[in-house]
Amino acid sequence: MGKDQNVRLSLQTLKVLEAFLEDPSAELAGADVNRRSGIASGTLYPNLLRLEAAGWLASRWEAIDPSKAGRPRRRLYRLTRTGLARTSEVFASFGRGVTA
Amino acid sequence: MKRQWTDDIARGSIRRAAHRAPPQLAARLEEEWLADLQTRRSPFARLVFAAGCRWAARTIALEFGTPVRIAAPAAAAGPATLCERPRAPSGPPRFIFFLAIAGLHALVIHALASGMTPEVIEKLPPPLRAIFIEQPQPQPVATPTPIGPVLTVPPLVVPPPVIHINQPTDEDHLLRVAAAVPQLSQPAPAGARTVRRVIGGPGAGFPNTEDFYPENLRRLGAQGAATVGVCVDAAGRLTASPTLRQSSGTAQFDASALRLARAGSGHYRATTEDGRAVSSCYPFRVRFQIGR
Repeated sequence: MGKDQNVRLSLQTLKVLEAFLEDPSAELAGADVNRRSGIASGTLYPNLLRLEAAGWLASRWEAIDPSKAGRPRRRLYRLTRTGLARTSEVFASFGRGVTA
Repeated sequence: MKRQWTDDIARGSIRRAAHRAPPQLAARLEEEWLADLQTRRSPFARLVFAAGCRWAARTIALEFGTPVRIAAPAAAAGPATLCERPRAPSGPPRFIFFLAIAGLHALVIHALASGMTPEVIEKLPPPLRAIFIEQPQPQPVATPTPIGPVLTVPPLVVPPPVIHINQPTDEDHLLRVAAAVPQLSQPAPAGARTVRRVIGGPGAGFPNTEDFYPENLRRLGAQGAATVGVCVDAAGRLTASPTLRQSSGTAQFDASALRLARAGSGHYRATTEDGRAVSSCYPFRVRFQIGR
């Protein structure tokens, strides 16, 4: 339950998904998505949580020791198999194919 | 130094924003946002990022306040319920506001019940009263007496004009007429006779001038008149090509007048001498006028 829910596809959501499609297997932190999509933090993080809640994205903590690294851990997001399939369908419907 | 205090502001803002998010997400969002804050280089970008996080926390709280299952992290056992919708904030400001309103009501009720109202009325300023002020009567102004000698202007006397007209007297006039009469009353030379001559012109069936009006000049509203000389025999036919006697000032009008004169051959009214048609040459005027 909750693994493949429909997501309201706003323009910002599509930009977030497009950022992941540049390398579907890559794990991106919120800052990376922000850099690729240009979406501000106020819109970006609710979108990431929304996609994660719908099962399109999965997230994990960066595997570092914050005390040794001297910085907090980053939250890394990646496209799930379901998310990749649904994203491909969405962009294919716009006439744009995805090589996964 | 500048970066230090802006960084502190941004971090503090992010922490406060994360605590406004649902409790289960607060710690995660705080660590995630603080980590992403490190990637912002300029102080301004950090402040903007922190402001965005405050907005994100508000959106997340509204959207994820009700129980929502999210995909579990890789290390977690399964989906987790986030939180309940947060209750509306309540605190001292609202309570103090309520107390202030209640106190104000109590004060008004006490004032009305204890008879404080007349005192208040007495302290009010007296009503306005209109006072009419008599307007002072204007004092008559004495006519000032002139200072210095009184100047008197003598009446202007204009003499009547004297007009001299050099008009001949009746006697002079009669003398001149008498001198002229013998010259006029001289007899006509022998053999001469008076011929009654009537000059010809365009006759019946002569072409209409409108048919020869240059079209472009008609559209422009131009008008003109040319005088054409023609030589016509007794039957009203041209005996020579028409000539232009007086130009209209426009070459097209002149050419049209000559064409009209040529087209009218056979329709001229011949000149008559004592009622008999004779050949003659005479001018006639061709007018090009709009709306005739």
